[in-house]
This record gives sequence, C-alpha cells and structure tokens, in this order.
Amino acid sequence: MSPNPNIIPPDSHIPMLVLSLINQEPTYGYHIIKELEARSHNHFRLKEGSLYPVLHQLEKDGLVTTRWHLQRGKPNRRYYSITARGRKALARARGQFEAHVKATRLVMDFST
Amino acid sequence: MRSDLSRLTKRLRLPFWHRDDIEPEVASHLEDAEADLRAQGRAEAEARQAALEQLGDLDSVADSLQAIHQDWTGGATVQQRFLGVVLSWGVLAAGAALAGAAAFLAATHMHYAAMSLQETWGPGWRLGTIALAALSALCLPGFAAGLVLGAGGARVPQRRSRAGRVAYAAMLLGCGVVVLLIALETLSKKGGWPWPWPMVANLLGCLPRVALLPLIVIPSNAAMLLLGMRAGARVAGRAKRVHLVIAALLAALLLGGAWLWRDRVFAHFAVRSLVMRYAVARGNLRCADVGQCLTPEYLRRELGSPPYEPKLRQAFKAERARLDPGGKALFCLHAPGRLRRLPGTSALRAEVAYHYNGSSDRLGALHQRMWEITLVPWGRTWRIADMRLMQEGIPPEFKVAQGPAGTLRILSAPKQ
Repeated sequence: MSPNPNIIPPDSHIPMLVLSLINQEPTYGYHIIKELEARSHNHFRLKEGSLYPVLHQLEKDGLVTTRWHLQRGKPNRRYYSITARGRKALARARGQFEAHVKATRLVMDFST
Repeated sequence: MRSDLSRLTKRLRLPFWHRDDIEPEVASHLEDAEADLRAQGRAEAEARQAALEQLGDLDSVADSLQAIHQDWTGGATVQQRFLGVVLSWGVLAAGAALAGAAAFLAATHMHYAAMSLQETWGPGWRLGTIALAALSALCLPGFAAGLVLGAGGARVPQRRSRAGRVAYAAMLLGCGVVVLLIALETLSKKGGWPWPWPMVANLLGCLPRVALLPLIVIPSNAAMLLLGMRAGARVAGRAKRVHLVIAALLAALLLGGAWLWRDRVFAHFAVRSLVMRYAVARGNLRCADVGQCLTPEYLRRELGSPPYEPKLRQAFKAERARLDPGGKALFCLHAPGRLRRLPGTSALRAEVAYHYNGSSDRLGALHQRMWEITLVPWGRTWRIADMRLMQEGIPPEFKVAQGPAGTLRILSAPKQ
C-alpha cells in the first residue's frame, strides 16, 4: 500500500517530529514529550494530553504500531514502534518539510 | 487521580476495549510525570496535581481521542483485545449453545424412546415445555454474543439501527412460530382442534417438532444475537464494566437453567420412564397416572431412600432379567410367559398392559387396555411393528373394525 502523501500534512510538524522520535527507537508517550522538550531546548512544549491524539492518529493511519510493556505495581506502558509505512511517510514528510523550509528560506532571503 | 481518569473514561463513548486501550496509557503517563515531579522535590499531592495540570484539559483530550477512535476498528492491541473478548465469549456461547443443543437432543431422543416404548399414540405434551425452555436457553448465548459484538457496533449508528430492524423482524418471526405452536398445542389439549387426532399428533409429535426446530431456533437466535447487538451498542460507553455484570447474570442464568433443566429432563423422561417400567414390571398398574409414580411416597415405599435413579435402574434390570432372560424385550410384561418369538421371524410378540392416562386424549381410555405388540429388531434395540388392541379389552363405547394385519381401526370414540 502506498503511503498517502497527506497523512502527515506538510504544515503539521508535530506528527512528523513524533514519528521521527519513534523512528529512532520504540518509545512511549511521556518519553516522547520529554525528548521533544530536551531536543528542541524547550521549544516544543506540548500540553501533554495533546500528544496522545497525535499518537493514536498515527496508529490509526498505520504509521506506528504499539505493544504493551507490563509493569508490576504500576499502569502498563504503551510503546510505539514505527512501521514500514510510517518510515515511508516520514521520508516523504521530511522531504516535503525540507522543500518547504528551503522554499521559505529562499523567499525570506529574497525579501530581506 | 483515579477520579480524573474515570472522568476521562466516562467521557469516551467507546467500546470498552477501546477505552481500556486509552486509560492505562494516560494513567502510566500521569505516573511517570508524578514520579518526575517528586524527584524534583515536590510533595506527593502537589506532584499529582501538577501532573494533572501538565496533562491539560481532560475533556478536550477525551474528545480528541473519541473523534479518532469512533470510526476506527482499533490498533493492533485493540484488535487483539477485541479478538480475545470475542473468542472467549464465542467459546462460552458456543459451549453453552452446544450444551443446550445436546441436552435438547438428548431429551428429544429420550422422549422419542419413551414414546416408542410406552406412549405409542399421543405425543408427549411435556416436550413442548422442554422444547421452549431449550430454545429459550439457546437464545441466551446468542444474546450474549450479540451484546459483545453490539458494543463494537456502537461506533456506527446506521449499522445499529439496521441491526435493530432486522432483530425486530426476526424476533417477530420466531415469536410467531412459537405462539403458533403453543396455540396448536392448547387447541389440541382442549380437543378443539378440528382435524383428526393423528394429524395433530403428527404435526406436533416429537419428530415433526424436531423438524420445526430450525424455524424457531434460527430466527429466534438470530433475533437474540441482533437484539444483543443493539443492547450492546446502547450500553457501550455508558455503564462501566456493564459487560461483566451481564456476563455474570447470563452465566448464573445458564448454570441455573442447566441445573434445573437437567433435573427436569431426568424427572420427566429418565425417572418417569424407569418408574413406569418398574411399576409395570411389578404389576403395579393401579397408578392413575405415571406422574403419581413419581411422588415421594411411592418412591420411598418402593425404593427406600434416595438416590432413586441407580436403584431404579438396578431394580428394573433385575426385574427384566427375571421376566425376559434373553434381554430382548423392551416392554415389561404384565405377566411372565406372554413374550414369544414369532415362528420363522426375528420378531417378538408381547402382550402388554399399557397404562397411560392421557387425560387430554379422548382415546386415552383405550391405552389402559391390553395390547398385543409385535416388536422387530431395530439396530441394537427394538421397535414396534404392530400394535393391536386385544379385542376383549375394548370398552363397548368404542366402535372398531378389523384393520389390516390384524390391527383394529377405531371408527368412533366417545367424546370427553
């Protein structure tokens, strides 16, 4: 199945960033939030609850898959892994993003 | 924190397997956040409150997740959970249905055997009750399965309403068949059925009733399945763990019903048949009704203390061995020496004092006379090839004529 080019809209960076983090290693929601904050030097500070609709939408689109990690005495943790379809979508989104940044930069360089 | 999470869960109008996929994840998140905040030196209560605040507005989180999940069959974990639930319920439902069907068939078989042995004319009306109970029991697993499936159907409203329409139509059809059977049965019992008795007997007798079974079982169970789906769709997301309550209720009903049913089947067929044969074998023909043989007084007098069933079997076996040393006869004879093999054939000829107080049967009086019965081998058992009312046993109010092969044709019988 070919990835829908509009699964990750070019102007929506959060799903792409989340998918990018999941691409590096299977991870869970809270860790993703902390990683986003740490890697962006606190630029991407999400309302934490807003991450889960993003993750579930990614799963619904077939870009990630999940498994439960059982924890004794604590709620089970849900780990997200990227799928082959997710990798393709990420590559496409990254290409679109880079083209978008390049184009934006060209425009902004031109205008200044 | 738990109350906040339950608020989130309540706001999610999703099947439980979807909700169960969301709640632990959010709970795990809050746990991690709280642990982080406490590591930063916050007090427990303060850390908990801060973790909740960081998560944001729970209602809007729930609404966003609801929007994603409501037209989604779910991810891998959801599907696994759903599959697990469906499989476990499916196994339960199939097991209960199989047990119900097996018990019903066993009851039917026993009844048919009893009919062959003793109730040679009239269909056993008790079968009607048993059959309806069995069919109702079979509907329960259908309803249970539908309930689980229906919760999944809650996500698609148009599917739910279509299922509802089909459920009502199928339910009406199933009920119609059942009502028709009950009406026919009642009419026949009252003697108000205009057709001759044998036609009613054939229509409502054991074998035709079994043949009618699919007409009742299929629409009724399909209806219950669909009705269950509708109910499941309605309750999904409204009552927490309602499926567990319903499952427990259904399990209690099934187990209780199975236990009661077993007892009734045994009482009506096994014990009744055995007591009947035992009573006949003992020459005790004074029971006005077979049912009277089942009174505690009779059983106590004849057999002492419970359990009666093994004692009856033993007594019957001994009695039969005495009366029929070859072990070939199905009937216990009124008197020894009346069983004989027909010359040149494998058939047996028996004279039987057949006592059957079919109060609803206007020919019932005839059943209390002496019959000459011819038995022929039938597999490992025997079947009645011919049954002839002995001439001297016919009361004067019956007009009879000789039928073929030595049988009697009843021309008229007194009205009850």
